[in-house]
Amino acid sequence: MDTQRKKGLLDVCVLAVLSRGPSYGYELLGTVSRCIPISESTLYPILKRLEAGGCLSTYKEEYNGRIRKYYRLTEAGRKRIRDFLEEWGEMEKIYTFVQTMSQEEST
Amino acid sequence: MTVQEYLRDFLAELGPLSEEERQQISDYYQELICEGLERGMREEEILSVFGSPAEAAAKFREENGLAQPVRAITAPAEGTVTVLDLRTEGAPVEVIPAGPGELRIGFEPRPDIDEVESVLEDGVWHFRHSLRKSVSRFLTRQFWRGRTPGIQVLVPENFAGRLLIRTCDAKIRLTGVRDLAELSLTTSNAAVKVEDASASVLRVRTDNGGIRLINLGANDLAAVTDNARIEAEAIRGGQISLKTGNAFIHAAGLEGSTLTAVTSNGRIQAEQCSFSERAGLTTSNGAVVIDRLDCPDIALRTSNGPITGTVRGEMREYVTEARTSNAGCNVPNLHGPDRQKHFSAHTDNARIAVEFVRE
Repeated sequence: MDTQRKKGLLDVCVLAVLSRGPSYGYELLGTVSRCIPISESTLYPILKRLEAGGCLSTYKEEYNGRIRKYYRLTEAGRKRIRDFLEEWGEMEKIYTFVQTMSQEEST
Repeated sequence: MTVQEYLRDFLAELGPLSEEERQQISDYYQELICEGLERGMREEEILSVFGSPAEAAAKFREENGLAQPVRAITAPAEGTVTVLDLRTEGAPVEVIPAGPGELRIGFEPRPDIDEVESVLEDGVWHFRHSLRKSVSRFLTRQFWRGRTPGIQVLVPENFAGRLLIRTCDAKIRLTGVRDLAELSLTTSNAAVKVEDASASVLRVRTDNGGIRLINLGANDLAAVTDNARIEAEAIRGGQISLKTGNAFIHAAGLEGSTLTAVTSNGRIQAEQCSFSERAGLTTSNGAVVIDRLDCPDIALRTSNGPITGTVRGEMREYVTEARTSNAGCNVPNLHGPDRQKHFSAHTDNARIAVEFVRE
């Protein structure tokens, strides 16, 4: 998949996981990987970008005698998910358009 | 390779980064490793998923849109480097630990702008960076200096020699480099931060820029600036000297034989410091504040500022001498043959309120 598009999709996947409740790095990697393969070095900038954009906030909590960093969805993050889902109609139209146009050409 | 070694090498391979960013990345990876271990994975297993430190760093840089690391320059000839004498015209310098190997310098000279001279002579590596003479024709040198890419000094863990680093108008930062014979950091108009390091002799010099010293060991430590603060925290040493002017000095958790802290027009604060020989805190137009200062010879001087706080010890052990004008003083002037220790406090136009406490 195109890297640029994958980036955008991964952003929403991470937010979608967080819509179930706050999560942390390791768990996010595991859950998102069920849908798109993602490595730790890919996840890092996504989290940073989403935090900078206000889509998620972070907090630290003690766990097992160490600090675990949690990521939590914000209202802006929720809106981002809604926007993505609402885009689907439009996306579908483009997809069908590309499909039919290219089919017409090949025939 | 332990996790700590892996992370150290990985972070070194990442190249120049802000300290905050470096810490965040380190925390992120450390957390992933802990999670893996707690789920029964073995250390090697986890690290092999990441790849070698160099591979992981290359991937990370790419994914995060970080610039490729600068080319590492090694000493120009065979032979052991015992001294690094680095001088640069305006490049910020970052000194960080690296795994085993040689002392290296990371720097990417800009074509037509930077000039580098690198010579190894009797174990002394002279590294000179300057701006080409022609540069000033187009724009001021100041303009280019401000944009000089950073120089990274990668110090291998077994290096026990001397690091002499001099720049100007640019920051110097050193973290995690231990057991050096000498460390000397000089700049101007910029801050210097030294953290988690030790050297027999440690010198920091700047002006118009603050100095932060955190968790250090040194037999002889001197930090000098002007018009900017000095903050020193958790230092074990012999002689410690902190000097500035027109700014405050804050010392916390310092230990050693002597402490000399001098400023003017600023406050001096010493918390939980312990010195076996002498502690002299001198300022003017500022307060002197001590918190459980433990020392057999204490001299506190200011004017137009109060002297307050606590000394750890019993007052009867001290020859005391306290003097102020136009304000109250709670320390009597006492002397006697049994009093082996000295305490003196002088100010004007402000009070002296010092208590002697056991703990």
